[in-house]
Amino acid sequence: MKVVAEVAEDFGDRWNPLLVKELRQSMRSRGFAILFLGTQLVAAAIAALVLAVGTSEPGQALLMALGTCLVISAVGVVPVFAFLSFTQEWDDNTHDLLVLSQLGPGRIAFGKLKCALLQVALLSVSFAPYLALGLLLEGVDPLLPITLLFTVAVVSAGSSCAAIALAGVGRSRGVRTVLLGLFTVASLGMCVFWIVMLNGLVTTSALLREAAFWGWYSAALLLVVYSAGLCFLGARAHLAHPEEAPTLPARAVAAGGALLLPWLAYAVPATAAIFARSDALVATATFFVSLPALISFSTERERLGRVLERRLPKGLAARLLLHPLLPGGGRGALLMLLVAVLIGTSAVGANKLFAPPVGLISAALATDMAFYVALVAYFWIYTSAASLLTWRLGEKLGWRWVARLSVPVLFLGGTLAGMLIGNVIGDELMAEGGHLMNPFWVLFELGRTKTEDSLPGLLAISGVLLLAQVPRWVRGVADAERASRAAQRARA
Amino acid sequence: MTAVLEVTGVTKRYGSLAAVQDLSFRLEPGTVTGFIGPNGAGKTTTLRMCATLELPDEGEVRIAGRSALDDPRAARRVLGFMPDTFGAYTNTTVAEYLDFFARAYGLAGAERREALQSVVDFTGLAPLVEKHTSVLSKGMKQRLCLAKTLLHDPKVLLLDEPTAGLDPRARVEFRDLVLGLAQLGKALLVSSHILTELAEFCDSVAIVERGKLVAAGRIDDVQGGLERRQRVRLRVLGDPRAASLYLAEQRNVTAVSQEPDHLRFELDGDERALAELLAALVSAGLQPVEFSREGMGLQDLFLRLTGREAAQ
Repeated sequence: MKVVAEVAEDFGDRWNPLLVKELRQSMRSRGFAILFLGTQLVAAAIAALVLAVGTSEPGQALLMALGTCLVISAVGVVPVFAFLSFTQEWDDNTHDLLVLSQLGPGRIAFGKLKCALLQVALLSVSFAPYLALGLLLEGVDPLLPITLLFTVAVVSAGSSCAAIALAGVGRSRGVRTVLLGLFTVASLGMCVFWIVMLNGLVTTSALLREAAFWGWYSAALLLVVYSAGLCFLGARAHLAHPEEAPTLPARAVAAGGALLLPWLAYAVPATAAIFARSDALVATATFFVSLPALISFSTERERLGRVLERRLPKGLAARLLLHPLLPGGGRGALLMLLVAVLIGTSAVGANKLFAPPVGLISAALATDMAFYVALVAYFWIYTSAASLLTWRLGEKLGWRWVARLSVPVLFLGGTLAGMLIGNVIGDELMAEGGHLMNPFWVLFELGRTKTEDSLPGLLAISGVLLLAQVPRWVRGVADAERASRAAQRARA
Repeated sequence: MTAVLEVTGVTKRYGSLAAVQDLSFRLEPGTVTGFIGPNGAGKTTTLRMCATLELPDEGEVRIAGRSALDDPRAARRVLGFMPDTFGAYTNTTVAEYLDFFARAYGLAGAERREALQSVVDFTGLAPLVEKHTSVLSKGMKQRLCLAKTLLHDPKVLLLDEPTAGLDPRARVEFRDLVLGLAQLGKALLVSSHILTELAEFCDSVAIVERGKLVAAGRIDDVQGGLERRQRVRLRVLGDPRAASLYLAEQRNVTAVSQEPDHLRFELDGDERALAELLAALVSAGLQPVEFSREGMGLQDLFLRLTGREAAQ
């Protein structure tokens, strides 16, 4: 018996220790047992009810009801469990112990994610017999249950990644409570969205045979996977030691995603004619995909790695040149500006390569250039303002979130302020959102009218914000020089 | 001796507050160092920086010869950190708790089983392995936490207030465990407020006040450095008055006082002067049966050092 027990224990060596631990804890906890048994009871009751009532499309009715239950439990509840599981590490004072172990930040975050995935797998298995029953009844496309299970698994995993990332942010109980509230509301929204989408699919399952549907479906899931990847890397970054340059992978993925998106946006319509190209859509998607990088880059105050710092050239001239690229010197905003320029260049390149013949003419290219210059200008306006705010407030750790929130606040505030001014001065266009600080309107208009009226204004604001960065660079270089001299004196 | 933990010029700031300023000390294998300071002195911040949980703004932390800041993962392999608050999982037994951390430290198969058996035996947790962590007493939780800290056989142990909240018996047991670990060649840095207790098992001290190191080194050296004058207790065979008169004639002896069965005096000088005085007493035929230096208690030492710091 002892040998059998040892073999069983050793089998667990191949698993993530967190998964083994949480499995053991789950066996004794009531939360998942209640969810699992509750969904089973509901599914059985639904199946019995559908069979008893005898609707015209019993398979569809059963699948809709089961899909709703599965989405609520897997997309609504499991990610909240993942959030609570992570915050429990703070509450139990085990977070530091985990970080100090040899698990590493990636395995800790992945362990928590695996636990959530295991719960989804268990839920899916428990629903499988009822889904099979639905298939036996009339009116159900065989692809439907598979699509349902796959979608639920991917979306649940994505939401769980977001949950783990959010849970890692809040050390204090108050912040965690607020985050949990926001996350629960967002999860409910996700549930409603996917329930509506899946139920729509059940009633019009002919869509499953259309290439266009799979294109949009893939794009939607790709966005979920991309966001989940970013959240996962964010969670990993929070667990890592500052010397390990933890945010670098997340930023690289965010910037890479932003660079790749225009290529996808042009390549897909070019290769599959059913997808119409829409510059406004591309801009919107690029903006949202870039948002994590935008916030992350512009509000960072991380130290440069010590090894890298030692290799930097010394001296006033070198410092003057390098300071804007160093932590605290506004390098986040400048790097984001560089990324934005690369996005623009990438988009123009993609347009040249994939656009239909008419798009290759110079006028179209110039319009594209104007379009992306405007996009880059907006990136710079938001990031440099947030970067300045981080410089002023970031010394106090508690205030850094204010700087982080400033990006969406500036974006929304700018749009709403313009509308308010429009109402006050009686400008109908402004009042409806047609003004310079509403990026979507400007970019849409640029795409539609092919005129570049807004560009000079945007470039002027960008220039002012660039000049506003200069005092911090000068002061930063002076501070760095002073600290360097003090360190030399202390060493002496 | 080669230091296993070297803290050099470490500074940590939180905004305008300097929690730790230019702190330097070192730990050698097989020694127990008491890390002493009032609340808010920067003890926990220092321990967390040594444990790679916080990054210092300036300075260097080297563990087993390697920079803990450049390679925190390597440092974590040779250090064990026991925080002041016990981290326990709900719905977990002692065996499962230790098994989880053994796996988390990368121990597998027979190696893991041996490590678990070893720490359970060392900390005396064998009768409790099937118990839930939530029902353990405070003393047993501290033992469990120590067992977890020892799983990967670290060379350096950082214990943050390990005896806080323990009853006297549990404190004595914990002290024995700490001494046992020192005998195994481990270097221990123990922060505590209970100075009388630290005095029982510490070889060295590092005293901090407002983030600055006030004194560090072997307790005797710190005492010696603090004050050249030593208090000595003497008991002789026969009439102590002769000894009292003899002492009064010595140039470097002051404040001679006669107690019912012994004498007390202050000697201005180092250990060599002490030895010479003893030899002189014997040569003068005074037959000393007890001749001992009355060291300052750790508590006195701490109060005098921190008082001096506050005065400065």
